[in-house]
Amino acid sequence: MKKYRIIDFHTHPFTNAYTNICVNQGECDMSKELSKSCLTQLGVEKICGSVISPSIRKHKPFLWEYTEELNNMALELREYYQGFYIPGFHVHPGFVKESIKEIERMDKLGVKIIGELVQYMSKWDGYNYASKELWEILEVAEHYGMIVDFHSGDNEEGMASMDEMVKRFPKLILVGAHIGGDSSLVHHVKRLESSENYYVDIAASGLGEYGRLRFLMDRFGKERFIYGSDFPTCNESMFVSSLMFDDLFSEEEKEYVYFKNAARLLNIKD
Amino acid sequence: MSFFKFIDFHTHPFLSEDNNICKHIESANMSVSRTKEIYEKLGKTKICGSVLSKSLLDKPDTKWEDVQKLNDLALELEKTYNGFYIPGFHVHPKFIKESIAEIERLSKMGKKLIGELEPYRFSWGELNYASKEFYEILEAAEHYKMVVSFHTKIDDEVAQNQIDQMISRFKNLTFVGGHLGPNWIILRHLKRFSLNDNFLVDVSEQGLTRHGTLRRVIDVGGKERVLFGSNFPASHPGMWAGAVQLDQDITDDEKEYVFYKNAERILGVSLD
Repeated sequence: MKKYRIIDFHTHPFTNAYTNICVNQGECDMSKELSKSCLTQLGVEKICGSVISPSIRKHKPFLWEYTEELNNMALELREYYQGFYIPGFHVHPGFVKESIKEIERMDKLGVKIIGELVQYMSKWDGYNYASKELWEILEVAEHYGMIVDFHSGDNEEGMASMDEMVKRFPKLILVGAHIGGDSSLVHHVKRLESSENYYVDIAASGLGEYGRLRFLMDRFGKERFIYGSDFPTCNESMFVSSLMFDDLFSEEEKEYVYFKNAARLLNIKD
Repeated sequence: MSFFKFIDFHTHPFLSEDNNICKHIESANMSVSRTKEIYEKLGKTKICGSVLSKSLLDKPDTKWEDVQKLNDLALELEKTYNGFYIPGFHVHPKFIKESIAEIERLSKMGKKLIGELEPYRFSWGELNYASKEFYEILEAAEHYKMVVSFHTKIDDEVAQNQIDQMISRFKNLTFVGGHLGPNWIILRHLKRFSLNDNFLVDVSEQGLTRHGTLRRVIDVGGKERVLFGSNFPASHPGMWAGAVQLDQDITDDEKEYVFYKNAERILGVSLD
């Protein structure tokens, strides 16, 4: 079996059960160490992504410190993984000043990825991707040359707000996470057309629809799609297999999706 | 490639575009011959399953002729594929006599597989897996020692209860729950293993996408109760096969059972 060089752009590494989003974590052997060995055996050289926790949305009131705690865990994991993990961090439209300060802090620490932002998990109640509060934050993100990866599945109104955001920020690198279902696909096509700096990370939902990625790649080329698995919620062995055994894709296309596109955005030398 | 060895228990091979449930037929460059080519490139493989019709979804009332036509298409494909395809066929609780006659007809031809049955696609209406009409048909299926593969990804507690009732009622009939589904349905499947020793699941579609699911299902049901399936042409079999083959929590022995030994046993066929 051919092994590909892989950067998994979309993961959610964890420090403990609170931040481990695998629904089967009680049933299988999971730890920080095992995560790395499991992924590297599949050819994954680096992982990216934010630390998340479904539990934080239970907090009442919802405070900025809950978001900041997750960001600090991401930095801790960067230290632990020694080059294997490229952290992503959260911002929140309910905390504009704090989010802007966080971008400045992270930029000083060499962290360039915002996200995956997961709005339903982070209690964005009353906000969406077209909220002026988020746009204030994104102006700063753009200034610092950040990459913003965001969960792209939502209802029609939510997805339309993402379309507006992509149109508003053509210079900002925006990555829509998940190809998703039929209605998501329509919106991705709109965004890919409206901004050359819009990408799709192919983690989780939508990739399983046979021919869907081919459909997108035929229209937008091989450089707009980035490999992700959504580990540990998703089965990394399935997502690594997505292009590997599919003769619809050339070897070159596989290399771009698995590695080169992420490497280019993240400035990782080959 | 030629890396794999499996029987894909859950597929829906097609003759025409109406039978083809892939959402991107053109992009996926699909045809009858290419189906076999896709699988041959993956390795030593066979496929099973029923032929479907997309146009039936829009029909308010399925007629028995519609159902029989699909069964006949399955037989036609079996001939075309020359040993590669093990056909599954449909029955329908609104057509009891016809369904029983169909079971008798196909049993005489050496066929064993009913399904995947998809009630929502064939306008079963008020009838369901626990209807007495359907039970009449299952009695015949049991008599002829059929294997019944049925769609389980129904987002409704009542429907899931009906499945439990059905498999509890027919303990000598081999049932295969099609699709693992979302987590709450997987938990229902895990309970079903204790309701009927002859209940198995196939891993097609949603469910296998989650880390640790296959390990969990095998831990509860045992390696002999899980079948490999991909739901081709809706999905590419390579992605599902890789999910099993590359899963570091599954032993090589377990993989063999999932990939082909269980299907060989229940269908009385050989991959070789």
